[in-house]
This record gives sequence, C-alpha cells and structure tokens, in this order.
Amino acid sequence: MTVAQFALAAGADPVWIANTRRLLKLGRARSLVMARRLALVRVLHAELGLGLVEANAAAERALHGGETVICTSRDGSISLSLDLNRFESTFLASLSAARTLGAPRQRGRPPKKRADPLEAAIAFGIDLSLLRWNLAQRPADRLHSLDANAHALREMRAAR
Amino acid sequence: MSFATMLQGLVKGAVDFVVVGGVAGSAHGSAHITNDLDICYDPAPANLERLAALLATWHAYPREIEPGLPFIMDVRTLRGAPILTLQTTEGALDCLDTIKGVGDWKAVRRRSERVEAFGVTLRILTLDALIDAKRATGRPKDVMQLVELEALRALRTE
Repeated sequence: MTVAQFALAAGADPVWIANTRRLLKLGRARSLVMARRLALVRVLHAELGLGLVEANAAAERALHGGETVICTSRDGSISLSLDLNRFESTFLASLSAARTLGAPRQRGRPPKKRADPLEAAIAFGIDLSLLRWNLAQRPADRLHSLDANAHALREMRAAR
Repeated sequence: MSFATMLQGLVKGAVDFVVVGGVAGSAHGSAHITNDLDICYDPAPANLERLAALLATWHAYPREIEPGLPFIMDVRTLRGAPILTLQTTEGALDCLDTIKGVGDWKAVRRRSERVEAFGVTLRILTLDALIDAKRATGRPKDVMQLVELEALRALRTE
C-alpha cells in the first residue's frame, strides 16, 4: 500500500498516522493488519476521546484477543463495547476505497503544462475530431454510446 | 447490468444524487470509457435510507475485497464510510458524500445541471466543476482526462 492508500484504509489523515505511530512506537509497516489496528485506534481516540495509549491497548485486546468490552467504569455500571462485525464492515469499505481509488505513486517528471488546451490535448494523443463529433451529439446520445461501449468492453474482458 | 439500469433505479428509488466522474465526463463529450458510475449523494437522513435500501437490494459489496467477509449495507455504513466503492448486481458504483475540489453535497448540487437520458432526468456535475474535481484529485490516471476535459471546454467556445 502507498501512504495515500494506507491512510484511506485506516480512515485517517497521513499526518495523524505518522504522529500516532511515532508516539506509540508502532513501526513503519503499511500492512493490512496495521491499517485495521490504526482505524480502530483512530475511532477510539478521535471520536470517543480515549487517550492514545489506552486506545491502542484496547484495539490490541479487541483485534487480537477478541475482547469487545473496551472499558468499564469503576463501579461497573457503564461500559463501552465494540461491535466487531460493524467495525469490520466499515473497515472493509475503507479498504475497498483504498484499493480501488488509491493512486500509485507518480513516477518521473509531471507532463509539461501547455497554455493552449487544444495543443495540450494533441500532445497527449487525444483525437480532437472525435471530441468534436461527440460535442455534436446530445448528452443522452453520448451516455447511450458510453453504455454500449462499456458493455462491449465487459463482454470482451469476460471472453478472455 | 448497465449505467442505464443503475441510473433509472436511483431515480425511481427517489435518491437525490449528482452524477460525477467518468459518466459525467461522457455526458459532456469525453471519449473516455469508464466502467463505474460515480455519484455524490444528499446526506439527509431520508435520502440515506432510500440509497441504503436500494444498495441492499442490489447486493452491494465492496470491490477488490475477498467475497464472504462481513459487510453490512445500511445507513450506518453510508455514514461511516465517506467513500464507498461497490460492486452491485447492476454494475460498479462509487458513492461519495463530498467531492474533492468542489465541496460537500450543497456545493456539488449547486454546480450541477439537468440532463435527460435513459428516459429519466438526472443531475450531472458541470464541466467546470468536473475539471476542478479532476485537478484536485491529481491521480496519474486523471491527468489525461483533465487534458481532455479542458480541450472539451475550449472546443465548446469555438
């Protein structure tokens, strides 16, 4: 996972992740297990107000020991418990977004910026005559074409 | 399984949404072919109920995730995950509550326009807003689409 993908999976800002890992001495690994743990630490700390150390210990107990009661008041009258299925479900949604949308790191220099958008398009190999033809259609026709083309692509992929 | 059935389903399900991403780009004349529908939705509780119910009937499940893991498609999931990348029986659907470079639902709604397609009336992000969104995302794959969208804007004024 890239830094951006890891942050998306953990549902946290990359700066928060870096600071938290340093404070808790969690190392630098960007593994699935670490993303899941940090996702829970973030919820317990940022949304429910537990201290970072306490949140980390509770996350460790819940995710590795299966202990779903996070904390209990001294007299036992109040306790905070974790719905593990719900947490896993939300984490899967974040992980899916990280895997689907998380961009790989851009390598090399960024493309040269050109002042004229049409010149830039030609330099990128974009067929302007196709764009002009598209613009001559109605939006509804363009969307019908997209649907047909996407369907054809799916069929071709399925046939491979 | 098509954009048509997904968009018709969303409109018939009374979900308040704006089409963003590649499908909106196509509506504006982009030649890029996308495989998934991206929408930004109104986070009002009643709308979340309608969207979550529809997604549950479409057996929505996160993409790129091994099948069979615990995933609950309901309002709480929509509230807890600001970006949902789903595979449904109707096709791939991404649901977002905000759009980078444009803003929250109110800003997205304000910068959208009506389009008639597939027998229903939709709202799609304007070309200018789509360009702002692509520029803000800055992913390598968005760079070429950004160049194409800027060319479309220039061609419109020719």
